[in-house]
Amino acid sequence: MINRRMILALSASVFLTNATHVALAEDKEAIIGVATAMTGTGAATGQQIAAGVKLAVDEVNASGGINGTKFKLLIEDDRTQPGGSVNAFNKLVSMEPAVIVGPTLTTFMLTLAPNIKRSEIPVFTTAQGAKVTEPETGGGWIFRAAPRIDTMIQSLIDYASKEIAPKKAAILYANDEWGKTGYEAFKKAGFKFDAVETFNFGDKDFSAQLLRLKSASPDAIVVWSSLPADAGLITNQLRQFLPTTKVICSNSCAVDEYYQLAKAGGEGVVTVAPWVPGLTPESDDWAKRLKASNASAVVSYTSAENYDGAMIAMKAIASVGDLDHGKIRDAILATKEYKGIVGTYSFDEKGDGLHGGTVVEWTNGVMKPVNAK
Amino acid sequence: MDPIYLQLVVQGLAIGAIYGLVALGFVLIINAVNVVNFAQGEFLMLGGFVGLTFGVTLGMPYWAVLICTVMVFAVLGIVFDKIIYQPLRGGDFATHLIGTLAAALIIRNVAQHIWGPEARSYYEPFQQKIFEVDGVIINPQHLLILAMTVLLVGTLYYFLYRTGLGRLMRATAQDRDTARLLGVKVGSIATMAFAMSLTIGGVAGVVVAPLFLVDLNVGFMAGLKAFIATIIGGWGSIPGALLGGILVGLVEIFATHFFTASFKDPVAFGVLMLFLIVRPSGMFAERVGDKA
Repeated sequence: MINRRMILALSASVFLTNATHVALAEDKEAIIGVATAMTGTGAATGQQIAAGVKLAVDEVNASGGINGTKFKLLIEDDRTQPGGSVNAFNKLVSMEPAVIVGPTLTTFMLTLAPNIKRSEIPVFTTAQGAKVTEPETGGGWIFRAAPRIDTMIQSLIDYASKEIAPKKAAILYANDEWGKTGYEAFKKAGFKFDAVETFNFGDKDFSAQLLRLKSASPDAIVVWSSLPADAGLITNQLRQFLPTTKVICSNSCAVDEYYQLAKAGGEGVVTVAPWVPGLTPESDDWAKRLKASNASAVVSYTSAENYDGAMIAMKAIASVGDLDHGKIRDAILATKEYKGIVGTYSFDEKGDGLHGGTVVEWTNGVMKPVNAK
Repeated sequence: MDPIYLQLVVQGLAIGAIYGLVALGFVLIINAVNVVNFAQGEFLMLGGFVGLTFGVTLGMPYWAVLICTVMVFAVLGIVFDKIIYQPLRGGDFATHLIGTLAAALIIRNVAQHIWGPEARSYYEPFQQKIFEVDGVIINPQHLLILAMTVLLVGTLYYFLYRTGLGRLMRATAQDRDTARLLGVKVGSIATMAFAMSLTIGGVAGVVVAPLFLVDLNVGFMAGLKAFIATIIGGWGSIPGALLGGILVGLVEIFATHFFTASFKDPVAFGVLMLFLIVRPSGMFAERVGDKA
């Protein structure tokens, strides 16, 4: 017989169960938080992240949401400082978001990792460092809407080994986690460097390093930088000392901004692009929509990947129907064969959604896909 | 000499001249009002964007870009004096440090708001032409910067030490109250100094843009290195700014060559420490009695 006490106990247990994950009432919006650089040295890339996510949220909301769920975008500026990224992330966590889109710099994601683990909120990123999605880094809460750097480098190395096949090679890489990842990956793949040089964040003159590389008379030089501006300056200065040496570059060269900065130095540079704009009608259409929504937004793989990541996150949230982060995480992991703007996303057990890039060569100002024969 | 060392000297001179050019802005303000303007590096950044707007957006020829930049920065200098320096003019070193650092942040963020965060390229006027002399590559833009720096050093030296107005400026820096008692319009002197200092910074930004890109991040490090050059050269010394800048440029490039890039900044700051210990007054120290 059900008495009043039992009803009370049952009501209390139902209330407590619900208290652990807030159900999405019809009028309630799920929050998508973005913690990235809106100011500081990484602002150019950070604003691309925000623009991509914003377009995704705006489009979903304009079409009435997904299964009736609408979304609210909150952006917190990390000022391109590791401490700032922790503050931005914590501030977003206090606003109870369904999913957070994090910074794209590997170093920043590694700084944030303990907080991500503790908060148990799914975090999307386009940081490509291999460590980012290792289970011990984020405890399974980090999802990557970009190819892992090692898979991308492998495509580039395969092409470089077969098609460029330098007798002598040299490398100039950024003195940070990203740069070291690139250098180690080439070494691991058996690429032998006759000269190795590094550069620091904020450097503007690379002549001392380039002259040392020049003295090794390389046929090919690998440039591994995080920012298109650095890659642009380096390849531009490189052409003064080594006008004909083949340049193989990190994906910081796989954006229009790079070519514009490098001018003549960008021509013939081989790089690996997570996405080549304009190869499909869908990506063309997307680029037009991005520009229509925000004329100053930059069409790049960063904005496209973050658009895709936000779309996948929103579909997962809507499919779960509440803000149980564990369920949202499972729904993201279950995403297979999702056709995004950048490519087809299938998440593996680590949380990696994309699994390869396209090797391209800058030809007359356009990235042309090239394949190893 | 091995051509590679000669090439390193050429590059070091060019980078050093840039630091010297920015350091001249520091020195001018030190000579006029005896404070350090930590926003000086940001004028280098701002000059690049203003030059880009005149040269690329409005399609002006290079000479017109330089003239328009001079005019814009002279006005900005007056504004800077009125809203940053004048309200804090009675303050101590820390007050001006915080005030000018705040100004640097504001300038940077306003620039990002106007021009966006992406770096841009601006390759006028030599269109990236380079030439080679005995295996040493010469960039004409380097020569332009070096020539401009030497010219400015000469002009400013003449102005400060050989003209009445220059002497008034240095007298104001040495003892503001006495100068005022003697009838010097100290407020106007400060305004003029800021207008000149910002103009140097802005023009430096235009001529440096082809080498460093037009980039929000260009000012901070260049400003810091120029500040080191100012100290090494001798506090407030005009020729010291140029020679200090060149020394920093050469030290940096040879440190990168002989060690690695990671040692570049520690060695530059190490040289500064050495100067502070061995010769704290810098290369061209002035006795107080010589100042005015």
